[in-house]
Amino acid sequence: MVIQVEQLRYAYPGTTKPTLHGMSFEIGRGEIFGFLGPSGAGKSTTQKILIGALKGYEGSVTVLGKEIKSIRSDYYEQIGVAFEFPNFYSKLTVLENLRLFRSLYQGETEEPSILLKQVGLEDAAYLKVSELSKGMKMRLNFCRSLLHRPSILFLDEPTSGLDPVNAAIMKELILERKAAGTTIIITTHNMQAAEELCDRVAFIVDGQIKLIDSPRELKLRQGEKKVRVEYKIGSELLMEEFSLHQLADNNRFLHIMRHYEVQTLHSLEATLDAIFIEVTGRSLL
Amino acid sequence: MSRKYQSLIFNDVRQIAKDPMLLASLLGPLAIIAFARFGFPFLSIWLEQQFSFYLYTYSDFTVAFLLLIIPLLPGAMSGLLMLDERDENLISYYAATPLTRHGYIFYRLALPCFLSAMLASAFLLLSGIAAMQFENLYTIILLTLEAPCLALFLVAFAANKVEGLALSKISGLLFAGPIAAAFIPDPLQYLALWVPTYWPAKTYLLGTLNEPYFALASFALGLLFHLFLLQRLSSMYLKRTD
Repeated sequence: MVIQVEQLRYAYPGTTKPTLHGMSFEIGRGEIFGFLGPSGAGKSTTQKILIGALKGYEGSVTVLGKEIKSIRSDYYEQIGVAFEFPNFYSKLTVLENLRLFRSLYQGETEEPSILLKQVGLEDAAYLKVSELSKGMKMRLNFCRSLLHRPSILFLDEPTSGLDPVNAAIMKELILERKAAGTTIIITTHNMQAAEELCDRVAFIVDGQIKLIDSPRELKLRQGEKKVRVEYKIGSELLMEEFSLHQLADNNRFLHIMRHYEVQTLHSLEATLDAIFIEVTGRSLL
Repeated sequence: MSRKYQSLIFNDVRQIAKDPMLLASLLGPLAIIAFARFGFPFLSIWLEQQFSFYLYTYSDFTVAFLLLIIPLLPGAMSGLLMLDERDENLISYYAATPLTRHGYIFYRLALPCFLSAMLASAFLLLSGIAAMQFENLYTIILLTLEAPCLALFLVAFAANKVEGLALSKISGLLFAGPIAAAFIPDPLQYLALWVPTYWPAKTYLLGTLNEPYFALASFALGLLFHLFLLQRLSSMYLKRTD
């Protein structure tokens, strides 16, 4: 396991109410793991502990075999972090920024221009960061987190505020890193992104993990094993549901397929949104 | 010096070159040294000829006054750069790199200390009006600590760079330190003890009056006061950054 967390508790200094109440989870090598939950649930606090920004916790947090409380600066040679809001020197160019941040690492690093090409920003290398669009800044943010070839990537809301085209580019980039063997931890309240990217997700509410599983398993387990057909007879739109069990032998279903104009055909697995609300009793917004 | 600190210095040079105000902060101390060396003698001759005013009588005060400007400029420069970096959320990024947050703060405070020590020493050696005395060492140490105090004052109390600029104007109050040390008679002078710049000015002036023990006492008290300020301001800054 790359990350092992047992009975993690944390209260911010000066507060009596704990933010995290005894979390336990494990993340394997090469896995994309998502923390899902509404604002203030404890996702960011968990991530801050995992990246060593908060050390006054109780319980055990081991990353790459080291207890986070005892990590030194060399830990940061192995992890890459992309915060939700891209943070750069806005008056400097893209390349100047990447060269500066690259020099903070002692180990082997990537050539910034090659990384820029990989994220489709090669033409922006000499633009000032202040001249970039939100989507370009998010890609640059991701690009910077890869500079030192980290084995673990922490991504905070990687698709936040992106239009569908840029969000799709970002998802593709994340999946490429997974294919290259990087372990990726995503913090988000975007269920759709989590569904498409994560091998497993953890639902966090009120500082506790309510459930951990793969999105696919959750959707199948919590959903109805049915298919819904919308079809037209003349100008009338009709809808019927059928059990998936022995669907190929269902005469009514086959009749509709053969004789009417089918408009939509959907299996009724649950959405992550619906599962989240059912499990936690809370909405994500 | 490690590669990361070299890169940070190189980056600062690039940022300073693009910002006229930051550039003035760096060139200001050099202009002060040049003024003391070349302008002061001309000014005193002119004042003597025109108004029979002997400026050289006040050369010790002039040194104490000009000296304190030197650390204020790199101190304000570092404070404004830190505010810029906090506005852009760069400090949380640095905290997640091998530089770490401590490394970042160390760099941002050590650089103005180094600049202040170098430039204050250059002033004392090159201005031509400063007394050559052992107490200058005390004065340089206190002046070196003024720079991080001002940088931390700005980042502890200002929410952003605009507020930081406004606060840096308030640092004009620090000119009260040498004025009190040079001109206000004794019991009243103690009202200025809380002004940080009082201590390096007083230590320097006690040196020129051949008062080695009083100068040492002034240095010791000033050092404690500056260390106390650094501790308080840095904990306020860290609280604000968290």
